[in-house]
Amino acid sequence: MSALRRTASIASNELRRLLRERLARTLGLLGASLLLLSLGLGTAREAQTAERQADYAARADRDWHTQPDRHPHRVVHAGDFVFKAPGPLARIDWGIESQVGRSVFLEGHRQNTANFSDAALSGGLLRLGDLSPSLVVQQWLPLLMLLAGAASLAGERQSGVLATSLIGGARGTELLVGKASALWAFGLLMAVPAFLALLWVAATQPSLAARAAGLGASFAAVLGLAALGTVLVSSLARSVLGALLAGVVAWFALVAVAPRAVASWAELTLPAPTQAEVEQRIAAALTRIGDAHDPDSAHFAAFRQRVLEDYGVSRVEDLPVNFGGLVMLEGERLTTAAIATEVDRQRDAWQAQVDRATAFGWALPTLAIRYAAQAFAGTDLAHHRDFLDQAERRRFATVQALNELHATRIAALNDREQKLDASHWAEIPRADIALPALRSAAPALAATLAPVGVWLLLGLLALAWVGRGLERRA
Amino acid sequence: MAVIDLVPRPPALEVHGLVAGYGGAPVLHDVSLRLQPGELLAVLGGNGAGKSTLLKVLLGLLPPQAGRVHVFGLAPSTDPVAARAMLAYVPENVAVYPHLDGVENLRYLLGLAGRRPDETTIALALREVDLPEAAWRKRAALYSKGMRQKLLIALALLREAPLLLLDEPASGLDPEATDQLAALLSRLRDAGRAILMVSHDLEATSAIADRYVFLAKGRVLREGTDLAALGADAAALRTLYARRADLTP
Repeated sequence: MSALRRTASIASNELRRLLRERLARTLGLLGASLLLLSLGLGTAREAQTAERQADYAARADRDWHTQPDRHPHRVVHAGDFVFKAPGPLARIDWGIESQVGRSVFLEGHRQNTANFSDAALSGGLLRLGDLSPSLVVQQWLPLLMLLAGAASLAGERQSGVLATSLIGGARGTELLVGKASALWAFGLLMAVPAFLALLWVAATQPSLAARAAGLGASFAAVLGLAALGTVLVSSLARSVLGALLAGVVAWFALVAVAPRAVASWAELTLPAPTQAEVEQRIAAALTRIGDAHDPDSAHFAAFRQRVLEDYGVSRVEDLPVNFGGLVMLEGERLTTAAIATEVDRQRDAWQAQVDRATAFGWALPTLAIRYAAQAFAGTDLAHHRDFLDQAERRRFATVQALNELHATRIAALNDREQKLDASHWAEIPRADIALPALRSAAPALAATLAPVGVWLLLGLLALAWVGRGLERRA
Repeated sequence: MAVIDLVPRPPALEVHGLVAGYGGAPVLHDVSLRLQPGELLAVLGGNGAGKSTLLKVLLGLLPPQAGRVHVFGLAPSTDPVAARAMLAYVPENVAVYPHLDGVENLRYLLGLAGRRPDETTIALALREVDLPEAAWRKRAALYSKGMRQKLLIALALLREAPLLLLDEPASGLDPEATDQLAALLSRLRDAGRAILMVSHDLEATSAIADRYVFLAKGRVLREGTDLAALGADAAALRTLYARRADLTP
């Protein structure tokens, strides 16, 4: 009998044990039920958010299009809302989305932060952490696998059946690999509801198929690591109780404590500017630029001279366009650049914190998988930042389109008294927010997933190494 | 005309000058014994005599520190796969997979050895060891020790292992089950199998063993063909066992 067939036979026997033993079967049903519950909660939660957002978006759209005849600069200050629609993968891993908000108020001369997060809108319960399907797969299924699989080797050693298997022809490494494969299959069976949900997403929205596949692969990887870890602990422990204790301690350290500790450590060692500091810096930068509403400020005096030269005239009154509108265009360009510098400084600092925590994935693959899953689901910091960037691009395009109307359709004389016909507002660009292509996240994902691959390989090598000495511990 | 086998056959088991143990301190000191096909050898000794250590060496689970061990000419320490193919082992607690029924246990354990017997062959083996037919498809978790022993001996038959090693086979068996086991082992011995059983129970082995080796503190203390022939020594040993006294060669 080939080694592969023996390993498959051992795996099949172990899976049969897991499916026949009452304790393991109960744990399996518990895991699948927990996952179904979290999927139900996630779906209901996202449906509620989607409905609320659709309502707000419709209202914002109606408010925009029902604006009366007015001066375009009044429209600039009236503002607009933009929303990030909840994607179907967010119901499986909602990452940081429940904390950061998915709508931004867009207005002239300002770059607002996202607001109306689920956590902010809740009574505070969401701040305690919530039960996402991804969390169940990454945290609770490994614990259930540990409880079901702790006896896989330690129990056989205690009963003596391990010696019977070894003497009967099984090799140590085959036993460990077979049992780890069976435990992995057991974990995958518990995670079937999550995989079915991912399949449904891929089937109904083919553009998300690659993301769904990546999320599924992340889940398979974390369950694979859990299987390898459990079998290793079980093979090294002297008793089932010893395996359980060692496994629970390892789970507590690697899954429950370390990821949070690493995130806190990254925040402490790489502090990001607070919102107050950002606001202060922006105010100082805008003071240096001057007031765009004041055409006589030093900066804008130089701008006026340049414009006059460009148009070959000597007086503002002789310009073929409204100089006030040009000032608004220039002012928005300058303030947008100045604000972006400060905002980017803050967001770069956040990203640096995430990068530092992600780098810890070489020591802590559970953390690497957590970040990878969020990236595949489109709910990590990079995707949130992309949403804010898209919102800012839309704000800038909208404001500048209105400023162009100001410059070209509003006469300089009695500027503030004039109004444009309401039909103009429909022509202003108001781009929707789109989920970026997965390839934009590919470099970060590769960096995040590399440690996971290495840890899986190390786990297999450890099985082979421990398996060779298994006979002496039989 | 009788056929004379001119090719010398290796003994089923040959142990010569064996020293073995865990870490630095040996448990077995200069142990030598020999077992031929068709012979039933009982290795007797009290707690700490070295019986379990001897079995581990024979099974290739513990390498010898000195001396030679051969199973049909094969060394379990250097060629464990080939040596184990020649033997079957029935441990003291007779562990089988509790989640499998009797037939499933046999199929799985035989599969590990690369054997795929049909239903008829399995049924013949189970009948040979007198395992009640009603138990064949019951989970082994419900089996008594005697039934588990029969199952593992059936496994040995199906594996066609010419050497059978049993650890404390009579411990925990009621008198009827002990008699059944003795009858079964006698049949196997008569069919040409070599059987080595280790035990601390003189009474249980006296009815079936062909030869006895007494171990004490890791050394061979006495060796003989039957208890009666050992005479006063056997009586003295029995008394010493009862007192759990220190046996010194």
